[in-house]
Amino acid sequence: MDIRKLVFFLIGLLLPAIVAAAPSKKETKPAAEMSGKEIYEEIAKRHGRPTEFEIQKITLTDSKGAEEVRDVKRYSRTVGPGEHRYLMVFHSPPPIRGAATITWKRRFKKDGQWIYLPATGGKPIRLVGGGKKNYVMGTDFTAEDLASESSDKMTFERQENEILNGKAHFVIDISPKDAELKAETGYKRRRLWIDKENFVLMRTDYFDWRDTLIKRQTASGVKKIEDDMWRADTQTMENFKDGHKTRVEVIERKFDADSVPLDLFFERTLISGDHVR
Amino acid sequence: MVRTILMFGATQRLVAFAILVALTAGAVLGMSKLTTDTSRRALISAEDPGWPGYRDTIDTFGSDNITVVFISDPELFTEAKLKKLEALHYDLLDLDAVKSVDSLINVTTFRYRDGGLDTGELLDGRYDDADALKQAVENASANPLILGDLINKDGTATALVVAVSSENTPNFLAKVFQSIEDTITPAKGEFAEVFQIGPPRLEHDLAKGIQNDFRVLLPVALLILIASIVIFLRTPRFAIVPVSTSLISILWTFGFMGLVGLPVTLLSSMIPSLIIVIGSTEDTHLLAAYLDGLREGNEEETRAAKRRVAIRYMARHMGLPILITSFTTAFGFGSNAISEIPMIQGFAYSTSFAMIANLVATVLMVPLLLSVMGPTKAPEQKSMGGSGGLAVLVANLFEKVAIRHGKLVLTATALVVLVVGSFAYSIRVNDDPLANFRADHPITQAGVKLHDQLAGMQVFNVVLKSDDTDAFRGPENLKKVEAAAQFMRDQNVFDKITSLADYVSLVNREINRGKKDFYKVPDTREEIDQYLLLYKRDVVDGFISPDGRKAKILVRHYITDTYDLRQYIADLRTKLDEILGDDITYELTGESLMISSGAQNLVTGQFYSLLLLILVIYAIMSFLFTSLAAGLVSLVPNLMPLILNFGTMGLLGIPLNPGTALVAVIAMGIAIDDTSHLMIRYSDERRNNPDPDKAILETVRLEAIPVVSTSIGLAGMFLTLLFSTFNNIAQFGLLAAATMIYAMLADLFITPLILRHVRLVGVWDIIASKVGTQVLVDSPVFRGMSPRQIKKAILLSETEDVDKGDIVILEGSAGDKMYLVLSGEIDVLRDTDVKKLERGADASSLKKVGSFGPGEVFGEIGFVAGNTRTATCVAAEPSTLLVFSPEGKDKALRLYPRIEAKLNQNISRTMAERLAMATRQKPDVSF
Repeated sequence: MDIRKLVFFLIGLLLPAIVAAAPSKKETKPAAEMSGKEIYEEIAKRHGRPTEFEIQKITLTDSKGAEEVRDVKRYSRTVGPGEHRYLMVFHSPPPIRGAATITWKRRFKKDGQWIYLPATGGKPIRLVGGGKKNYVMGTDFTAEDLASESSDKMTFERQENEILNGKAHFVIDISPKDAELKAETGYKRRRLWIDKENFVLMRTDYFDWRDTLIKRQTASGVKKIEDDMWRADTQTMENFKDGHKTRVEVIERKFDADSVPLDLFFERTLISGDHVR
Repeated sequence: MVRTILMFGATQRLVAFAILVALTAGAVLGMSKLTTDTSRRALISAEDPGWPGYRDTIDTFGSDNITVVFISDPELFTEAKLKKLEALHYDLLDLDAVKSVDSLINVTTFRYRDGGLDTGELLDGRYDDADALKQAVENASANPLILGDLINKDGTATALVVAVSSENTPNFLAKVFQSIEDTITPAKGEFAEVFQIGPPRLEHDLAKGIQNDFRVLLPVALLILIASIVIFLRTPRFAIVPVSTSLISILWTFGFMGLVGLPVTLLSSMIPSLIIVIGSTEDTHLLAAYLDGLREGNEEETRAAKRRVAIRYMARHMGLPILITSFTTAFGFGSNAISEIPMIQGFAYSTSFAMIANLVATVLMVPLLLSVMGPTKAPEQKSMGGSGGLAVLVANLFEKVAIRHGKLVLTATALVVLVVGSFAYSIRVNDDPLANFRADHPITQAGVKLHDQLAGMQVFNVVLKSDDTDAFRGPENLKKVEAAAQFMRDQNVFDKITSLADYVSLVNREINRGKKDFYKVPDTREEIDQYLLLYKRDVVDGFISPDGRKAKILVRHYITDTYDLRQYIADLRTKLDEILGDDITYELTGESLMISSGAQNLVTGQFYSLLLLILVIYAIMSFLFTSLAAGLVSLVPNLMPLILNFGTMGLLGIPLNPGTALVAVIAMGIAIDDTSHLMIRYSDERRNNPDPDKAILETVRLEAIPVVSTSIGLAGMFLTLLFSTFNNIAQFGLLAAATMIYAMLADLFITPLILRHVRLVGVWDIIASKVGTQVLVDSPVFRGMSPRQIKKAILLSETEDVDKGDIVILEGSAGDKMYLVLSGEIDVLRDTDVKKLERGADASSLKKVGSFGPGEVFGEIGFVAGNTRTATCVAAEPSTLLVFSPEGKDKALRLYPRIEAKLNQNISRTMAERLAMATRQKPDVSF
C-alpha cells in the first residue's frame, strides 16, 4: 500500500544507472582478489547512465496462474551530483492510464515522493512515512528490494563461487550493519549471484529474519548495451510464501537525454496530462 | 428355535467361549485402527448443496481456514511487548501448516496526515519511539480494516490471524493446534492473556472432551448398573453378568468402528453408556427370569441341574422378548442413518451394531456365566416385588384412578400431552459445534472474549456474481457490494464485515484528506482502479476474482445459535434480492452456513427416522399380536412420551441438536420394550381370564415392578450423561431420562386403559386355550365352514363364563344375543315364575323343557328377530358360552358376505329343525 515503495521500485530497477552516474576511475582488481564489497560496487560502477527511459510490461501472476498486465513507462534523470529524479507512468489498462509516481532523490534534503491519480482530478499527493518492507504496486518487490543503499551500511561476505546456468558466478551474502537499516529491513540477509564475466546480478535470494528463504529474483535476457554496460531485459521475482510472481519485461530502452526531458518531473506536466501523450 | 439359541451358551459352553474369544480378538484388532473425527465437516452432509459454492469460493478467493491467537495486555504498545509480539508473529509464520500471519507487525496503514499520505507498515519496527507508537495506535484506530480485527478500541488487545492451509488429512488440525499451542505457550507468561481459538482448537477441545467423557461416563454408568442390579435383584454376584456383556459389547462396537472406518465422534461419547443402559435392561429381564426359574418348582438336586432348569425357564420366557426388543432398539438407532449429517449417520451405524453386538454377547455370555456361576437359590420373591408394595401400590392406583375414572384419565392425559406438546413449536434448532460447550468451558469464554474485544471466530462469505467481466470494478456494482455490507452492519449481529468496497472507500477517504464523508465507493471506474493500484495484489484477490466477475464480502461473527443465524441469513437474503437486482446473483458460502443448513437436515432426518421407526414398530407389533389394533395400541404409549419430549424441549429451551435429535428415536426404540412386555403379559392374562378388567389389573400388578425398575434404571443411567463435557450429550441424557419416565407412566396407566378396549387375543385363541376349537367346528351353526371362516364369524363375539344357577336368558325379557355353549350345560325352563327366580328360587324346581350341551346354540330367535324371550335359560353347571350380538356379527362380516350368508343359512336351518321338532310335539326349544 505504501506508494513510496513504488518509487523505490523505479530506483531499484535503475540501480545500475544510479551508481554509474558517478563512475569510479579506479581499475578493477583481478576477480579472484576482490572482496564482496568490491564486487558489489563494481556492479554499480559498470552499468549506470545519466538518463534512461524504458517501456516495460509488468506481468503479475498469482498462485493459480491468473495474470494481470500493466504497461509502464519509466524515466530517470540525474540532475546534479547526488540529485536524481524518477517518474513511472502507467499507460494501461485504460482505467489507470496516467497514474504516476514521482521521486526526487536529493543530496542534502529528505527525498520527496508523490503519487498522481488523474481520476481524483486533483494534484499529486505527497507521501509521508512509509517503510522498506512493504510490497510495491501489487508486485512482489518490496521497497528495499529496489532501493540503493550505501555499501557502508552493509556487511559483505564472499562465498564460494558457483556455476549457475553453466557460467561461473561470484556469490556474496549481504546483511545489514547499520543500526537504522537493521531496524527497517525485512531481511536478515540476501545472497547474490553475479556473473563473473560481466558483473551482471543474475540472481538474488532473500532470507527473512528467521533465515528462511522467502523470495528469489532472477535476471534473464541479458545483453550488452555498450562497453562494460549490460542490461537484463527481464527480471522475475518469485514469492515463495504466497506463490505470487512478478515479471518485469523491458520492451524498449533509450539512454539519450531527449527521451527524458526535465519538464516531465514537475507537477504541472502531470496535471496537464502531457506525461501520457 | 429362539429357546435353542438362548440355551446355546449353556449347552455348548466351550464353543460359545471360543466364539466370544474370536470376536473379541477381532475387535481388539479393529480398535487399533480406530480414528477420531471432531471436525466441523462431520456436521455437514457430503450432499450439502453449499459445497460447490464453498469450494468455488476457496478456489477463487483463497482458504478461509483461519485461527486466531488472541493477546491482551494493558501495556501492549510498549517496546518490550511489541518485540515479543514480533517474535511470536515470526515463530507462527515458521510453522509448516501456516500460510500467512496477519498482525500488527506486518499490517499496513493508509492515512492522511501532515498534508500528505502516511503509508507503510503500521509499526515499521519503531518500537522504541513512544511518539511513533502513539501515532500507530491512532492510525490503527482510524483504519476500519484494522480496528476490530487486529486491535481493539483501547489498544489493549490484538490478534495474530493465522491462515492455515486447507489440508484435509486426519488429525491435521490437531497437529496444527499443538504446534500453535507450543509456539504461544512461552508467550503466556509475557502477556496478561494469550490463547488461540479457531477450528484447530475446536477440534482439539472436542477430542479432549470425548476422552474426558469416556473416562468419566463409563465408570459412572457401570457403578449405577451394579447398584441397580444389587437393589433390584438382590443378588450382587449377578452384577458380573451385565458388566461383562456391556464391556464386551463396547469392545466389539469400537472394534467394529475401527474395522469399517467409522470414526469416534462427539456422539460416540454416549455409546458406552448407551450399551450399559440398554444392554443391562435385557440382562435384568433375563436374570429375573432365571430367578423365577429357580423358584418355579425347581426340585433338581444338583447345582448344575438347578441352573440348567432355571436357564431353560429363562430361555423359554425371555427368548422372544429379548430378540424382539433387541431388534426394535437396534432399528431405533439405525433409523437415524436416514440423516444426511455424517456424524449422526456414523452414530446410527455404530449404535445399531452395538445393540446387535450386545444381543450376541448376551445370548452367548449370560447362559454361559449362569451355567457356571449362577445362584441356585433365589432371594425372596418380595425382592422382585411380584407381590411387593410397589406393585400393589401401582395396581391399586391404577384400579382406583385409571379404571374407575378411565375417561377422565384419558382426557386429562390427552390435555396434558396437547398442552405440553404445543411447546414443541418453540423448539429451536442448533447444531453449531461451539454450542456443545458449556458457558464456563474455556473455549466458550475464549470465543466470547474474542467476539467482545475483536471479531468472532466464525466465518462466512457473501459472494456476488455477474456475467460481465470486471463487473465489480465498476462503481455501479461495487456500490451494491457496499450496500449489502452496510445492511449487514445495520443488522448489528455480525462482528466484522469486509469487502472490496472497504478497501476502495478507505483510499477514497484518505486521498480526500481523511474526510469521513468520503468513506464510500467513488463514482468512476478510473478512481476505483487507481485506488486499487495502491494495494498488494493478493489483498485485492481475496475480495474480487481476477476477471472481476465475482466479489466477496467476508463476514466474521460469533453466533453460536444456528436458529438465530438462519433468521439473520433469511433477512439478508431478502435484502440482497432487493439490492442486487436481476443482473447480480449471489451465494452465501462457508462451513458455518452449511452447518446451519444442516440444522434443517436434523429436522427432516428426525421426521423421517421417527416415521420409519413408527411404521416398523407398528408392523412388528401388529404381526406379533396378529392384530392391527394391537399395533396401534403399542404406538400410543410411545408416541405420547415423544410428544412430551418435544414439548419439554420447547418449555426448557433445549434446542434440537445432533444429541437431542436422537432422543426421540432412541427413547422410542427402548420404551417399546416395556410396551411389548406389557402387551405380551396382557395377552397371556386374557387367555386365562375372560374379564378384561381383571386381566388388565393382573397385568399391571405383575408388570409394575419390571416396568418401574427398568424405566427408573434407564432414566438413572441416562442421567449419568449429565456428567458429560458437552451440552448436547447432557441434554440428551436429561431428555432421554425424562422420556423414560413419561413412557413408564404411559405404560402403566394409559396402555392398560386402552388395552381394555382392544382384543389382543382372538376369541378363537381364547376358546382354543380353554376348551379347544373342535366344539366350534362341530357346531351346527358353523356347519360347512372352514376354521378361517369361523374365526371371522366369531371375531366380535365374546366368551362368558357362568356359574351353576346363573340365568342367561329370562323368559319374557327383551334380548337379541345368541349363545353357543362351549362347555358345560344350559337348562331350558318354561312358564317360569320370574319373580321367584329373581328372589333366588332354585331353578331346578322349575319346569325344565330341555337342555343344551357344547356346540349347541340358543337365543337364536331373539338374535334374528329381536322378540321377547320365550323361555328361561339357566346354567345347569359352570359353563362357558360364546355370545353373539347382531351388531357384532354385521360389523365383523360386513366385508365377508359369503361367510355371513352361510352363517345365516345355518342359523335358519337350526331354527327350522327346532320348529320341526316342536311340531312333532317335542319340547319347544326354540327362542
